[in-house]
Amino acid sequence: MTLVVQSGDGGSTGLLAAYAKLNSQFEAAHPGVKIKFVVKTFNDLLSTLKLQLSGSSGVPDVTQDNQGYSSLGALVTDGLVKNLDPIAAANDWSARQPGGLLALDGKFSTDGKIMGSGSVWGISATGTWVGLFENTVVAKKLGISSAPTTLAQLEQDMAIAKAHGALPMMMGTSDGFEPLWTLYEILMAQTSPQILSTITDGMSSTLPAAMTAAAKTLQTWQNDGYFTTGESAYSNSDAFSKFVGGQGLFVVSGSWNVPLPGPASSTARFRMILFPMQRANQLAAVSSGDLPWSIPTHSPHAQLAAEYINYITSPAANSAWIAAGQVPASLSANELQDATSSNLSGSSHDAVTAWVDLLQHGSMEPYIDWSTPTFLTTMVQSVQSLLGGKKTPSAFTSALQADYGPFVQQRHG
Amino acid sequence: MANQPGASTVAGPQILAEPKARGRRIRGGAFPAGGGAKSRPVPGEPRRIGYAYLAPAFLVYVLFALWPFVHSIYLSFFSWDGVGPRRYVGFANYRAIVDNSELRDAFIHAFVLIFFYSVLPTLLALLLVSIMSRSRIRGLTAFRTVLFLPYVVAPTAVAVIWRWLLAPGGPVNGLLSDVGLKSLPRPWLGDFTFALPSVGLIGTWVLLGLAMVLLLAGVQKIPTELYDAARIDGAGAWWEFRAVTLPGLRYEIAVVLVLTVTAALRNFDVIYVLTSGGPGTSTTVPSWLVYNQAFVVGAVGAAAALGITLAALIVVVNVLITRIGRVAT
Amino acid sequence: MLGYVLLTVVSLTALLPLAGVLILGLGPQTIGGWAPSLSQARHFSNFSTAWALAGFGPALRTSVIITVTTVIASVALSVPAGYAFALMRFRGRSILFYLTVFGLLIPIEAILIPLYFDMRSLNLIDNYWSVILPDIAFSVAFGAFWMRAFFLTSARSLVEAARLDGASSARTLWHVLLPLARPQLLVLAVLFFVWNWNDFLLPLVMLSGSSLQTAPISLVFFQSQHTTNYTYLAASAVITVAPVLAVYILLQRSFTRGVLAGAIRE
Repeated sequence: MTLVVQSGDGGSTGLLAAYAKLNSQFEAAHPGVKIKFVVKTFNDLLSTLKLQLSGSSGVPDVTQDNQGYSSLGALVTDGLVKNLDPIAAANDWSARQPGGLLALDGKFSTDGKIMGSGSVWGISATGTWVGLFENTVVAKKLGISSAPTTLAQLEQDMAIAKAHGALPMMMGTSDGFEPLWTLYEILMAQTSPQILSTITDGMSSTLPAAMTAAAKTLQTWQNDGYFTTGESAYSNSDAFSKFVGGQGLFVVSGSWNVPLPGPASSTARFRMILFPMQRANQLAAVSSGDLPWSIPTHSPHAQLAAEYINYITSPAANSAWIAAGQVPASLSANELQDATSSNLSGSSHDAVTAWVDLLQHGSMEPYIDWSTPTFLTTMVQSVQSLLGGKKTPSAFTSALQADYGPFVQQRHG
Repeated sequence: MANQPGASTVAGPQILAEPKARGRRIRGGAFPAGGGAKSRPVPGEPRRIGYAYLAPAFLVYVLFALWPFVHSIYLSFFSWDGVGPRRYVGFANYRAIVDNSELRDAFIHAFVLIFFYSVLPTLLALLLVSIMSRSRIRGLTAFRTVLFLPYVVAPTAVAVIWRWLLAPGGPVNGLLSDVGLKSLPRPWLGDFTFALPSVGLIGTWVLLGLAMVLLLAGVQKIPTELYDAARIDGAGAWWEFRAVTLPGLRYEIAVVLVLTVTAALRNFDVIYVLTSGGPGTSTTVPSWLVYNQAFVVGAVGAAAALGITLAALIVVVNVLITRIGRVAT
Repeated sequence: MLGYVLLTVVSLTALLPLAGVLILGLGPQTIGGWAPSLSQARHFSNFSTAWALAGFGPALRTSVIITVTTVIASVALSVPAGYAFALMRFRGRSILFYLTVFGLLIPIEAILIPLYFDMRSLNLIDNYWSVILPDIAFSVAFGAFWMRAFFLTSARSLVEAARLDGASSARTLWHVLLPLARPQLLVLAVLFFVWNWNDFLLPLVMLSGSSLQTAPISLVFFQSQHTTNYTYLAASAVITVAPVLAVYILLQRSFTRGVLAGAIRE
């Protein structure tokens, strides 16, 4: 019997290595079962997922999707994925993962209209967060000895880099993700981390004015020459590859990139830190589980699919995740500390310790592009226009508001 | 780009090529007459058997092309997400194409692409061919084989090839800086101003060879006596072009225009692979919007309206071009 | 002289990017390198690596199954249809012909949506037939048109002679006309092959399940995971177009005739 497992983590070598290990362990535990692991890039997964799940044949047994109204929410509304409450109850998932994380990643009301509460439709196997990577060799050459702990220091460091003719921030805008993540972090740093959950919760149907200020800062960084020339040719993963190849002092990207490719001698110079907030003791990051796993309604082997999901999110899978340098979502902070302190190094170590810090003392904030079914597209297009000089910061916010406002209003009925 | 099982890619010329049946003028617009006018009754031909011969092809055609078209028109009057109930909205989806700037822009972009895919290759081919009008070229077959190559290569592969060519560190930028134009190299497909023209130039590359082959074939048919006569009259090159070449090629130009305009209006593959409508919304085109709206966003009725509008546009443009092509014939 | 020079220049602009891609695909693995180097163009293993990574084996098989079935069926259906339109009289022939010609102008985008939903309710999604049947529908519209044009201009005297000899319509078609029609059939076969192999949008929508992909689909999914590995991009592009190029080069006279026929006035 073949179990078709579809992932949208294309390009994340660390994650894929962990899945390879877990898949063979699952096959060993289920004789007669062969896993066909289909990998797509995030964008390819999303652009074909609805079509794929709508058929009654050729549907994968288990698949990843994206959090938010446009992906998981839409799938729930259309009845394309199964309700996982029975499995969650039977295996006590609420004891495995922090309640907030479980809700954020996979809970929706049964009509798909309210995100973050209701039944469980998807669960993430690993945790990821977006932060700042720094090239310590380049920093040392510029006379920067320590990582920035406040937003002001970050701007200072970038100015120093620029003054010395080095590239301050490696940036790729062709898929829109890196500038958006940077925007979210700036937004948190300039107001407070909680502003992101406020936006996704949709308490008010008007976006906060701080959005315009954050857009202005992003635009200023662009105009000051802090970003890569020709940024529009690169996706976030292209930009990250170039960073790992040695270009740029900083890059904004996620913990799914670790472990970094290449020999330890060359990756040792990179470190990953939480994006600096306003004050040094504020710990915050845009973070969530990785792409949640769901069972399509027309899954040919729903029972086996449930066992698969349960397995990869169980404590039994943790060693495989950690060995590949990934942060399992199903560990508490204490267990994480114990399990990982000794055998990880470099940015892999950073990724896990920061996750622990976030769990214990910091705040994990959602991606605001989950806020409406079309918000990701709207934000990508608008931030590209902003950085391309086609939109002013206030026009940027208006474009976002035109999407956000009506949806939030009709959500509240 | 062309090459979908759109017989419409080669349809236009075939419509024009409808055999003129012993000199009789074809009635009607773009569509040739049924042909009944020219046949003597064939003796003893039973009526019904004609249906039997036609049926298999026609059945498939009706079930999988005609009926879906009608169904599409029906869907375009509804607002539907593909799963839940349908809501009748009248002409709202069509009005949105005019009112909504995003949808309107897609059609504007399509017209911009018509310039690059159609007008530009035709003009270039016309220029080159008129220079060659009096030479007899040998080895034309070899040239034709090469010139058709871009048209035969799958549009998805064309897109992948041009992703490399137009990359920041790619050959086009490399060439520009090598010849000293240091300020020109840029990320073409990520540039707000140049992304659409870049997509356009890809189309020019694909279709120039096609235009050349077609116009060359046409120009080889113009009797040299006409050129000699013009020369004797002391006509200059421009007059020769206007009086001999252009009228002689009017029919072939119409054919090229039909083929290339249809290609311009239906280029899903390149947009999907290279830009997804970006940066921002600067390279959205109707065919990509149809896919995106129907299968990603879930606005099926709106997408159906887009598809029907695109079809109407293609028909109108085809009819216009063939009318102009017929005028001189 | 000038004519040859101009033709050569244009031919080179057509050829160079394609040749460049071939050489790039054979070159050493470079990420972001731009210049294909002829002297280093000997890494044939790139093709087998790209083949394996992108899953071209199953993809090419799917493409072959879909395209060959479409070509054979479309030609087989177009011949009698064209014959009927050209040489038989029956009520409604004109209308039916107009309807067929209309199909030459319909873009797939206009019918894709209901086609998808109808196929889905018939349980035909993610199935070869969900692509083959619409492909045949569009192909026969052109094929019927094309064969009708041929049958109209082929020697009517032959047909009448056969009829007077008492041959049925079927025998007339099979024994008298078809042997003459071989070049026209070849044109149809080549055109149908090229159009249907290269098609992306219809298979993308119909085969969106994970099990079946055509070669262009595999190419697109593969390249989006390796957007800066130009060696892989080049190799996979070459693999995708190779079958069509082979058919085209072998039968390029038929292809040319098919496309040119619209341009040459008889």
